[in-house]
Parts: sequence; C-alpha cells; structure tokens
Amino acid sequence: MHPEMSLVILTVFSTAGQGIFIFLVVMNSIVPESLSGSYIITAALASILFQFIGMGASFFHLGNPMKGWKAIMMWRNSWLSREVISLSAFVGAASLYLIIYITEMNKSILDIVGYAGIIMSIGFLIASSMVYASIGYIKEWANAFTPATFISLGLTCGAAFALAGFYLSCHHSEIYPKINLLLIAMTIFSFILKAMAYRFNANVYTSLSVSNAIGINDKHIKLMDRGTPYAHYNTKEYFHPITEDQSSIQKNLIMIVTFLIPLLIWMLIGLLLNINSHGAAFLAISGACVMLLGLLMERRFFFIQGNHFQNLYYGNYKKSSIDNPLVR
Amino acid sequence: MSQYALVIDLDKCVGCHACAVNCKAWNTGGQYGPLTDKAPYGARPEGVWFNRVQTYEVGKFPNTEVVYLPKSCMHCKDAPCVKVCPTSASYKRREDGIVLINYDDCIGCKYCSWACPYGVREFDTYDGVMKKCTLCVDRIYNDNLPADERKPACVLACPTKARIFGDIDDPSTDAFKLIRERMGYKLLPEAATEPSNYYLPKRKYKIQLNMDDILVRKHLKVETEVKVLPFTGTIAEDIASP
Ligand code: SF4
Ligand code: SF4
Ligand code: SF4
Repeated sequence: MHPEMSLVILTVFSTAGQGIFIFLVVMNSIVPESLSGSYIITAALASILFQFIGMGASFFHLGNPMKGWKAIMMWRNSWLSREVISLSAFVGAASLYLIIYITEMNKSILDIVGYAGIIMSIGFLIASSMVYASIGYIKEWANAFTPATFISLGLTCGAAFALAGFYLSCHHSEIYPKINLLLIAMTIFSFILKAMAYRFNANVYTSLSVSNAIGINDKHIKLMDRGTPYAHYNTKEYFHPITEDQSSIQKNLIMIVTFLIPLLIWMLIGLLLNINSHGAAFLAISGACVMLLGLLMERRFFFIQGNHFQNLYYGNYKKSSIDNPLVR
Repeated sequence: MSQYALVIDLDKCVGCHACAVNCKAWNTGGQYGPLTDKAPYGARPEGVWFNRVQTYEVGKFPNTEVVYLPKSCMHCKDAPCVKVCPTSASYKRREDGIVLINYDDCIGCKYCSWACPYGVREFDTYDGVMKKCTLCVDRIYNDNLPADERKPACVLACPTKARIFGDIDDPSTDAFKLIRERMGYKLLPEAATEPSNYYLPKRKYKIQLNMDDILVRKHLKVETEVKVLPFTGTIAEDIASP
C-alpha cells in the first residue's frame, strides 16, 4: 500500500500520546507523592498535543476535511467511525483531567476521570488498529499482530516520554529504577512482538493468483495491458515499489532505531541514575525521540508491506502463483 | 427484490475499450457531475474511470489466447465497501441493489477502496470524493431519454453486444438466462462479497474440415511454397525484411 504520511503520523502520535496519559494516570493514582505539579501538567498537555498533531495530520488524508465530523455517523459497523469517536472522547477526557488538576478539585474525581480516559484510550487503540486489521484483503494487516504491535509500540513510546519528563521534573525517588526497568521490559516485549510480526508477514501467503482474480484456470497468465496509459489510483494507492533487499534493510533499520538504540539508552540511564539525574533526563528524552522516529519508520513500512488483493489484476501482487505452495 | 447488474461476455469482447470510453463520456457530462481528467492529451494522462479493460495472455506460447477483461463495480450483494464507510456515504439501494456513493456525505477517507477486493473505486482528487460505477442510475430511470436508451452507457456502446444489463435475480431477463445457459461466473468468489456482475467464459471453437477443404489446402501449399522464417529480432524488423 502507498505509505501515506498523514496516516503514519496519526497512528504514531495518537498512540504514543495515549501512552503518556496512561502512564501519568497510573503513576498519579499509585505514587502521587513522587509526581510534581509541573510534571502532571506538562505530561497531560503533551498527551493532548500529540493527539492534535495526529488529528491535524489526519485531515490532510481526507478529500473533504470540512465534512470530517460526519465520520462519527456509522459507529455501529465502521471501525474508522469508532476510531474517530474514541479519539475525540479521549481528548475530552484528557482535557478534563488537566482542568480538574489545575482547579485542584477532588483527587478521587481526578482519578475517576483519568481512568475513564484510559478506557477511551483502550477503545481507541483497539479501533485504530482494527481499521487496518479488519481489511481481510491485505493479509499482512489482517492478523493479531496488527493490534498487538500498534498497542504495545504506542504504549512503550508513550512510557518513554513519560519517563523522560519524570526524570526531568520530579523529586528524586526510589521508584526511578523501577520505572526504568519497566520501560526496558516493555521495549524488549515490543521488540519480540515486532520481530514475530515481521517473521509472520514474511511467510504470509494466500492461495490466490491472477488465475483466481480473472476466473480463468490456467497456470500461465500474463498481464499484457493494464487498461490505462499511465498510472492511476489503482496502480498507486495499493502499491509501493520496493525490492526484497530494500525491504530487509528497512526492517533491520527499524529494529535498530525503534528498539535497540533506545534499549541501550535505557540501560545507560540505569547506570547513570544515582550519579547524575540531569544527565539521565537528557538521555531519556533523546531515547524517547529516537524511538518516536523509529516508530514513524515502522508505521511507514507497515503500509508498504500491505499487499492488496486488487494488485492481482495489475500484476503487482508480490506473491505470485509461482511461489505459492497451494498452486503449482 | 431485484439486483441489477452487468453480464459480460468474454467470448464476444474484442477489447476495443468502447465501453470504457462511453462510460467516461457519459459520466463526464451526465447528471452525476464531471469526472476529473488531468492532462488527457498529455504524456501523463491521469483521471478517474469507472470501467477499465485489461488484457491478459492465457496459455503458453504458441498455444495462447488473449482475454479482455472489462472491470467495473460488481455491485456486490454483501458489499464490504458499504460496511466500512464511516459516514454512510456508500450505500446499497434496497430496490435495485445498486451500490452508490452520496458525494455530499463522502469525506474522501478512501477507506472503502481498501475494503473492495476488485480495485474498482477511484478517488477523485479534484472533487475530494470517492467515485465508482453507478450502473448508470442516471440513465436507466431517466425519463428524458428515449425508452430504448435507458440502459448503461457502456452497454449501448459495445459493438459486439458483449455487455448485457438486467436483473440477475429475475428469471425472465436475458441476464438471468445467459448466466445459466453459459455458466456465468463471478470474479474472485474467494473474496466472499457476492458480486452481482457475471462473466460468461470464452468458448472453445472447433473447426470441422471436410475432405475438400483439405484438398484445397494441400493444393495451395504445393502451388505457392509458403516459407516460415524463424522469428528474429523485433517484430518491426521482421515485417520490414522481405
Ligand atoms: S465491487 Fe467493490 S466497490 Fe463495488 S460493491 Fe463490490 S466491494 Fe463495493
Ligand atoms: S471515501 Fe467516502 S464513501 Fe469511501 S469510506 Fe470514506 S466517506 Fe465513505
Ligand atoms: S454502468 Fe454506467 S457507470 Fe457503470 S461502467 Fe457502465 S457506463 Fe460506466
């Protein structure tokens, strides 16, 4: 599929922003004494800002952005509609959380609103990934790894930002190493999940070939004419030219930038924590930024990997009947 | 409940693209508003078409045959494009089964086109909405047209009458009968969308020769020494050389 930058930014920033919020709410209800006021405000603001970056980018994807609000109509059957609704609800809950905190209302109300925000966020994470996973004609997307990686990567990146802010503005506390350890664990988990997803996608196949597509039972079918003198929507939207070599380079690069470099940084922080907390904070921020960059690369490649059935008609479907074990 | 659709006879289709061109012509000037066309006479013409004819070669040389496959929206009975649309702009009409897009509601999110296995929806960048074959809904019920022209533009244009329009669920229609008689089939049934358009397969023709024909042929062969040259170089060169 064509890697549309607006969708890459939407899925990465919104999920990462929700990770920040979830981290914030959980910390604030478990260890409120370790959090400074400026941290809570900054984290909530950052989370909301991330949502606005995502939503802003998504408008560039629409042909008719002014009518975008209509996307809430079909929540009963469209995952896209549910995505829009849950994202808006989350922004509402996060903003309310911020307002309640600033106006110093009851702490238990703050927690209730926070957990309500987390529920919206879970709804969004599921809906947003199901938008892709529910397209059965793209085998690389229609599997459990899509929601699993969307959620796990988003939360890990959010946690990385939350941790960076935490080091920067909160009182020194004995929970620092624990949080650092949690982040390392999350990163390793996401790494394994993503590696499994790439492995799965490398072997995913369909029994379909151009023979099924045009309904003629013959092993030798060649496309002679695409019915168009030049590229058009169907040759561009569903297909991104990439060689096997390029894609394996991209995959390796993604694994290094998204997981390995940040992982090294988290470990370094673990060593540095007791010596220099400012240095640790600086490292944590750079780690989170590197991870965000990696996530953008990962999501872009997620689109490129998507291989739509309609490509069968245009001779662009990468798994041809030749390497298909079912058709010989 | 009826289900209007097209039945396309692959045995008759000669790949002339007349259906595609007339579809474009009608839908550019018809009641649904224009279809975008960027640089139609330039080196990189880009535009929206509701119907495209693709050409495939089937078989191994020298036993090959050419198949022309005109493809437009199949007006699926279980249309996934309708189910995923977040705005309900994409809908299926109950009365005749035609799948349409309400341009006033479409936000141009392109999600429906991902959900279609056939790749027959095309995004109009100029209007910012998704478009596709309307089964000429603005012709078939159009009282301003003479009765015999109330058919899809592509059907009227086809010089070999390879396109048949009708209710595929009504046993009295030609469309219904042809599907049964000629073993009409659906494209990509694996996608489970229950497409309504049917394709009539190519037939195998066998020529019966009687002895006289064979004698004439033999006679000709002796008379005019036909020499078959091995194919070398490009076709153009081959034709040029004596
Ligand atoms: S062919 Fe595609 S666009 Fe047409 S009804 Fe079926 S799924 Fe929808
Ligand atoms: S592009 Fe238009 S018709 Fe298609 S899913 Fe989006 S709103 Fe619906
Ligand atoms: S039915 Fe009408 S809109 Fe559809 S392909 Fe034929 S001419 Fe085009």
